[in-house]
Amino acid sequence: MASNHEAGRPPRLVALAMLFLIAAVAAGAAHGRTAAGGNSAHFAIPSGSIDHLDPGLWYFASTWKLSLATCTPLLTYPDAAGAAGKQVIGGIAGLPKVTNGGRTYTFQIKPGLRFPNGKPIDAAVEKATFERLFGKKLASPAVGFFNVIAGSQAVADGKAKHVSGITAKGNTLTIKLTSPVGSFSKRMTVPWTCPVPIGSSAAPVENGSLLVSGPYVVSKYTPDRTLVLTRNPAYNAKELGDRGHFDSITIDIGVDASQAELQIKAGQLDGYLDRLPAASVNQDLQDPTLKGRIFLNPTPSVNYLWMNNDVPPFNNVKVRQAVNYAIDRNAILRVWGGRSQGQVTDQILPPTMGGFHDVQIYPVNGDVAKAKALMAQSGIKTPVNTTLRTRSDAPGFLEMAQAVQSELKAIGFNVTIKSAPDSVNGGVISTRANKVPMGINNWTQDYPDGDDFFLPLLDGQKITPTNNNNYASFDNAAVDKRINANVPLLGAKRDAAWESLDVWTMRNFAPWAPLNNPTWVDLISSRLTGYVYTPVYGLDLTTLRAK
Amino acid sequence: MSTIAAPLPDEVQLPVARSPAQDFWLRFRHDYVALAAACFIVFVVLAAIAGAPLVAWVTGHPPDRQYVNGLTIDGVPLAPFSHEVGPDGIHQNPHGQFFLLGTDKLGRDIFVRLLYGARISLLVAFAATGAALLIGVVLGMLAGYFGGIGDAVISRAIETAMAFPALLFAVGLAAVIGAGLTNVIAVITLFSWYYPARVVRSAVVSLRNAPFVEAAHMTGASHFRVMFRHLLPQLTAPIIVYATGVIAANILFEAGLSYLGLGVPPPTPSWGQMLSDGVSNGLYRVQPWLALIPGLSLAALMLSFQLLGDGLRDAFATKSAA
Amino acid sequence: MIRYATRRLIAAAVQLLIITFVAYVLFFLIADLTGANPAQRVAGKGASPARVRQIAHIMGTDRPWYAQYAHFVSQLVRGNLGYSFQRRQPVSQIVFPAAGVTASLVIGAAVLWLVIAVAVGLVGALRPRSLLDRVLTIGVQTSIAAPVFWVAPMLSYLLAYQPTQGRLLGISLGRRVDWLPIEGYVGPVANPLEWAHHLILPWLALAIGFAALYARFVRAFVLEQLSEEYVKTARAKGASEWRILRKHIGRLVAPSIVTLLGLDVGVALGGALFVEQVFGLPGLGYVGLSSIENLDYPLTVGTITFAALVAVAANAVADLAQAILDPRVRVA
Repeated sequence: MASNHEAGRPPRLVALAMLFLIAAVAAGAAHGRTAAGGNSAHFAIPSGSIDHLDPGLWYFASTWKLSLATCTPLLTYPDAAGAAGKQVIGGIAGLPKVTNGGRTYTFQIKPGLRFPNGKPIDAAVEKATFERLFGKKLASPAVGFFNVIAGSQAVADGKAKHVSGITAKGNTLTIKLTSPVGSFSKRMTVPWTCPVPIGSSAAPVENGSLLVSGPYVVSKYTPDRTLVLTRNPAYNAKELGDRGHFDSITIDIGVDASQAELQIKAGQLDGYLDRLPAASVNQDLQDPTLKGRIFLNPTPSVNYLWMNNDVPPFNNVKVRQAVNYAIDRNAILRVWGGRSQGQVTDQILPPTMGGFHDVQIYPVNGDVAKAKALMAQSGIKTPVNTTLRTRSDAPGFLEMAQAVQSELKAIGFNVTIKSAPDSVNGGVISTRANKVPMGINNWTQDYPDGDDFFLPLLDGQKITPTNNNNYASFDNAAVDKRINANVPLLGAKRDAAWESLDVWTMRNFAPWAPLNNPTWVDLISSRLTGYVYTPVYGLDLTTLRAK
Repeated sequence: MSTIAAPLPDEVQLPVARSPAQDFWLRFRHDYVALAAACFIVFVVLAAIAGAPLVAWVTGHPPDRQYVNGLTIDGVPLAPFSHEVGPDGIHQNPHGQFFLLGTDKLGRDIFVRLLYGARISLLVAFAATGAALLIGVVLGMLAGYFGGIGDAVISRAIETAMAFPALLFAVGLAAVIGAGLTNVIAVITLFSWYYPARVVRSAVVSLRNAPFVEAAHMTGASHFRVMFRHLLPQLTAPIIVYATGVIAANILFEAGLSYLGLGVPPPTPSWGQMLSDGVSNGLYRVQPWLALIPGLSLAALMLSFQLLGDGLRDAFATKSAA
Repeated sequence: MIRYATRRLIAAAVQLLIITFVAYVLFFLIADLTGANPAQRVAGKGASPARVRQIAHIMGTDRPWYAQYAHFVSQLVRGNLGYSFQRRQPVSQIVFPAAGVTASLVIGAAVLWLVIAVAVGLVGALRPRSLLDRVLTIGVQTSIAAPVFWVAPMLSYLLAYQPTQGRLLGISLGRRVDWLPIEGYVGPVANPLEWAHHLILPWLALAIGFAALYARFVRAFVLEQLSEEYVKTARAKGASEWRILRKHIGRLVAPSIVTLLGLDVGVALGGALFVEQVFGLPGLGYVGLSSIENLDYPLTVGTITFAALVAVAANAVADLAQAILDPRVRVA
């Protein structure tokens, strides 16, 4: 059909828009998308990674990783990997003199330390910091770990203003304990001991202005968006070590892990401070262009299947042992992400713990026949209907739950899986009244000692009705007795004692079915060097520098 | 019919009376695209019902069975046309289990799960759409027919429901009621009933003063009789056409909900769940088939429903109801 | 008119109340039924039960839900969307910038999908049943079927990441090209070019599905109109095809598209959620989702309230505008 239509003239507006977009693309390309300009680094973390920026309250592994750059605790660890990185060294103070049968610790605060406001960091400052921790207005989780300090409970209860067990004179800080605790020096390495200026608010200060004792200070913090660290002008590198090679570090909050992995490879990001997706990591390990930029390290943590000793049928030890025989830890490791993502275990303490020996308590691939025999011996009637709870917001947990669900079917268990984000799930399983039968969780150490696993997770005396970390509600008098006996021990004897308690508990009482010890993978951009994985905190931001 | 053997030349051909149904079928029969779409849908339904257990029996792979060697030692799922890996966990064992479409991230047979997954996807789509239509048509009819306060209330209710940010609510609901088949259907119904309600209401509003309605009133029909015996048949055509579109959209909605964590609980397979598994955590970059297979299946199914809807609309000879 | 306006505004207020009520009860129920405790989360890991109770008292979560809701409403009428204890910021301070980001995303995507839809739809209508039309139809139908949460990471991977490794859709480029960011957001005020630069892929991701839907509609509508009497008349009068399309059919299709857009903005917000998550855009969807994961329920309810407010207000304004233009509506 003939028609004399004009050659279509697109509306001018569309043409203008096209021009704008092309200019945008060109500008971006010309501007260059390298990781960061000048001497600054650019990292990313997922949303919700930062719980607190008040050094008295922070407790997430992610914020403790940041503490390496933003504060200096009373004692600390060197910026080194492996065994060297596990030696406690001086932080704000040198190593303490321990006297009085392990009840008195005397610290010498290093000379010449100052805050950015010019005020000195001395023993009085550290004493005030401790007292702030115990104050009711702050209610720091440190209280649970530090209440062995004499006179601290009185402050925590609001009955006293000062902790009688801590005395400060010049640069000498003396701490008296109510009873000897072998791990006390290790407990002094936690970031809660980072000094804050005297007169700081007793209530939480969350804008980062109290992080003033490390190589970096917080110059900008937009919650759930950005965190920017810049050099601390008052940092005394002579006494505290030459730490931190960038002038500023920008951390984007809320970046998706698989997108971050692409950005690192594209050179748009220097690194990701949380777990990268397993499948991509496995692919990257085969990539020759990424050699020297991808690092695998064991973590001081364990993924475990816990069983609630208060809920039938898990109150029957033979059932718990049967579960340990029924699961195929090898298969579970594969769905967790394969050999690059961890190693199987049937023990409570991770291999990174001093004194660890790998003991084959339960067969790695499982033994369904033995499991069935144990079930028969237990007298429990199958099929058993039960529920397993785990977190839905981190990759791998739901997969491990499904593997367990499938494997337990063979011994007559009908497992229903319920999952929720960690914030919800954690609340549900830590409330005893909910009587959750079983679940899969991860526990990462706060400091490298066996009591950081046994006390919160398996000690019957430490069970609380809410906020309970002993999800298994494991309350065994014999185990508790051995735990109490181990607490005051020191050195290699202490390590060996925890280790043997670990094997003994798993063999005879099996409160859990430990699954595997995750491996941490770090991928950094090609312009960085100086990567150090510290055994306690992981990637160390203060050792990295541009090539 | 006429007893004359053949029409004589120059004689006028008498028009043959046909019912609307015959009209419809005549038009639909010649629309090959729509016919193909309908056949595909029927094929998927048959595959879901009968094909799934058949394939599971032939391959010997139940849909929930996790094969340790269905994953490599690095936890990577197998590609289509693979055998399971041998003891070293890396090289395939040519005498081991064979997976036509590969395995998923838990070492399960994708082909079998695809067929069983069709059941859930179809079930959810049909059930949710059915429920949404039921609620929507009834409310729309009542609102359009009676008008007045009832109409105002229902219209406002529709607007209110539409103003809810659906996905945020769905995530919140997921945390409260948990994942589950009935929950998924309930959530989808909750967020799709108002579309048919609006459409039906405006159709009824335009029809309620039509002569045939007046005539029905004059013969003494009650309101309900008029609505459901006289008006409703007029609406079946646009409702059916609309339904195919809503089914297509709900199939996609289920996929979105699975991605956000409100899907059918494991280990039940559904196409939406399989797609979201393949897309999450960058798995599609390592094993693209995990996303492509369910994705293409979903696309084909949705396409079929849309083409069927188009064909039905052309065959009913109605204008678009939008 | 005044009577109608008052009635309409009262209806809008009631709608908003209903939505906020349902949202409040829902998220209050989460805490009750699942045992999740927002105060616990704010107090922090390792906080003592006494401390958690203290925080709960400050947050007001130890009061019964109807008391909390009443407090919320009383704040709402004063224009206060609440306070997020997790972030230690007023909710409005978080939600308004986030709304700006989502608006950038959705409006930009809407413009893009309209342009694509009109172009594709017109081609199909002007050359019906041709090879080009068939190919476009198949392309369009498949695009509708592609879920946003798949399209978004695929686009980011194929168009932003692959070029940095020297590949584009399978073709080797020979050198690394860094032309689009993989994720991230830049505000429009400081740097408008970077703002658009970071939004190109998100716009595309969100637009693809809708473009397809609208293209179908445009094609069907234009096709129908092209066989109408008035078009024949116009052609007989010597008007060019383009003029007919623009002046006659364009005027008719515009109101229908506007109606569709009104309906689809809500749906687009849902799709925007996935795009924001993948591309790291701090919009309403991202804020809402992360607030649920972090048990930051004041922020969740605030976000939902704000989104609902916009939708309800838009409806009310549209109705009022129509009432001004068309007196018959006021009587209804």
